[in-house]
Amino acid sequence: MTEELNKTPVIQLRDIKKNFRVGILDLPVLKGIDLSIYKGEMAAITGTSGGGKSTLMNIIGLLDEPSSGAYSFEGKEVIHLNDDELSGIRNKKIGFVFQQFNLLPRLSAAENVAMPLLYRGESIRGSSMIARTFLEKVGIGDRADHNPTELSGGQQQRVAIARALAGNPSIILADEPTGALDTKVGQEIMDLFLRLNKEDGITIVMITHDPRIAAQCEKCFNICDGLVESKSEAVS
Amino acid sequence: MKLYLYFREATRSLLSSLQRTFLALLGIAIGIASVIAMVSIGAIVKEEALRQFQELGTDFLVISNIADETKTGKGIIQLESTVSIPRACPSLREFSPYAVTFSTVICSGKSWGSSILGVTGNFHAVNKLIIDKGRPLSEIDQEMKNCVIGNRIAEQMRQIGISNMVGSKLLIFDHIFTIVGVAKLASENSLRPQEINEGVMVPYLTLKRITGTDQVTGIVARLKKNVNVAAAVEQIQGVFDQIVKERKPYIQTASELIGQMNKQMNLLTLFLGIVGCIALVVGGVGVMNVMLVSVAERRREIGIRRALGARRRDIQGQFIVEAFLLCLFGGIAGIALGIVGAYGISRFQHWSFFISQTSILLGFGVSAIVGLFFGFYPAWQASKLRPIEALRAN
Ligand SMILES: Nc1ncnc2c1ncn2[C@@H]1O[C@H](COP(=O)(O)OP(=O)(O)O)[C@@H](O)[C@H]1O
Ligand SMILES: [Mg+2]
Repeated sequence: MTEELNKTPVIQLRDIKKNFRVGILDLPVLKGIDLSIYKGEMAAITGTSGGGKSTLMNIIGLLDEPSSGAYSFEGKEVIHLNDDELSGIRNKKIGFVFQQFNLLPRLSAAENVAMPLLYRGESIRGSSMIARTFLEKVGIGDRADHNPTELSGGQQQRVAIARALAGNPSIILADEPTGALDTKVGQEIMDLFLRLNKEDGITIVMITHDPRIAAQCEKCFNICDGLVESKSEAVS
Repeated sequence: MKLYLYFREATRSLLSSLQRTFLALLGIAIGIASVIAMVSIGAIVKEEALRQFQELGTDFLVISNIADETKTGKGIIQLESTVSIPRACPSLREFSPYAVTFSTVICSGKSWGSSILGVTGNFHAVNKLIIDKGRPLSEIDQEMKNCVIGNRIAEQMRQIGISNMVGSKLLIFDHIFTIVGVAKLASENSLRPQEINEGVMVPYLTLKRITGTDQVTGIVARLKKNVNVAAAVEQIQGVFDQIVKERKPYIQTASELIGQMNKQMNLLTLFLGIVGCIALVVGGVGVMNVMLVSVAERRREIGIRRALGARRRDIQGQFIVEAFLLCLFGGIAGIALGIVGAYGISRFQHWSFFISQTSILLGFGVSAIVGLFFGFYPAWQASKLRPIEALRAN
């Protein structure tokens, strides 16, 4: 805890609220979230379905804006940044992993992984080489030239993880990364995340509704009724 | 600008849905094809017409509407009375009056109705007629029953199996004429009397002696070098207005007609160009429509790209390049199609075909502009999507 206090969190949310307009109603989904993620952490976000986990993740990932509240990313306020600046942070500092993998269908695995680097302005050759080393790292170097449709769910999620890692981000945000996979493959993906966190010190925030997955994370935030209910250190 | 990236992504996208690409291309291709074909045809026709007149010579001149062709016998102007005309019109270098009448022409038991031209000795030279076989009529043939046949009669004789026409006999006005020459097809749409290709040319005085008709129907002439055409025409008009009181003689010069034709052709090209441009706008709207549908269908892709850090201008660039490529490919297809079309029409019309370079440049330029113009709005829409909304689409 003392260590935490001295360090700047990667993510720091203060009193984040989010309402969705549905017809004439203004439905509050997040009602004042306070949450900090520090470098090297592996945190789980849990909660009931429809409880606002994805909404929170999208705000953390700068894909959506909160209705109110403060958000600093690596100590820098990001609420009022313009679209290009937000795109730049997503590109360089954040790696996304989605439940539905979200690979670009017309590109090969390696080309998918290279995409964040290309948007950064790197050459096709250079980024392709980096992409291949990351595919090796997640254990599917032999599938570099396959199209997503030619890969199994687990393999696609590995490509997605390689893509999230390729840009050397400060944090990886994963929204139910095992949700579309069976238990065995899901655990393999979880093992990969754990390895990346342990061996490379990569900061990971992961949404899950699977208590067995959440139990493997060192930190767990439970979202209940739009608030962070409990912050518990998992015993490992 | 990561143009290489935009081009790669755009090409992938176009190749991945060939049917959509093909349909979007079609409109542009047709638009460009019509522009190319029309502009090419315009240029070809213009060249063709100019070539015909240049072959005839810009000093050529025709005086017509000086006879009442429904009557026979003595006309308003008789051959003898034309003798004084060259002196009255000093700008004329050569001068050849002719008469047109009509008769049945009988050959080997076959008979055809045909125009009969009574011509003076220099008629062939003034009209720059080319004689395919035999010789032209000359001054010495006057009052002799010799004739030169035009292309149509030659064709009809060939059909009944006569290949050696020079020396053959024709029965005209119940008199036996000997064919001394066969005229080559004279280019049409020129100022030359139409009857040259259709009819039979006989010496003027022979015609007068046989039929008793002596009316000059028209006069073909050539101007002297370096005369002011307009002034010469005015002067000649004055002379003929004096001689022909009953009606207004027409004087047409090749140089005047070339000028008029140039104007008309430019107008035609402009008109056809506008029609083509309308076709292009329709094609462009088609591309825009396809691109808008494509943007709507690919919202999730846009969302993914935005999550990976694509800026608005990256999305916009990709979609504009896609529309641009679409139109460019359409343009290339259209240029090919248009050239083939222009070639077909020229072949059909017996025009000498050439590829108009301006039309190709126009095709490329216009398709690129259409692509950029009609691609802009869909691309802007794509870039405007909020990342989260795009990502949530399925
Ligand atoms: N764009 C939106 N418009 C309206 N309601 C939304 C929107 N996004 C999410 N919601 C609502 O917010 C609530 C939380 O959704 P979400 O964050 O996806 O939950 P979770 O990921 O925890 O299952 C749900 O009731 C959902 O219907
Ligand atoms: Mg969710």
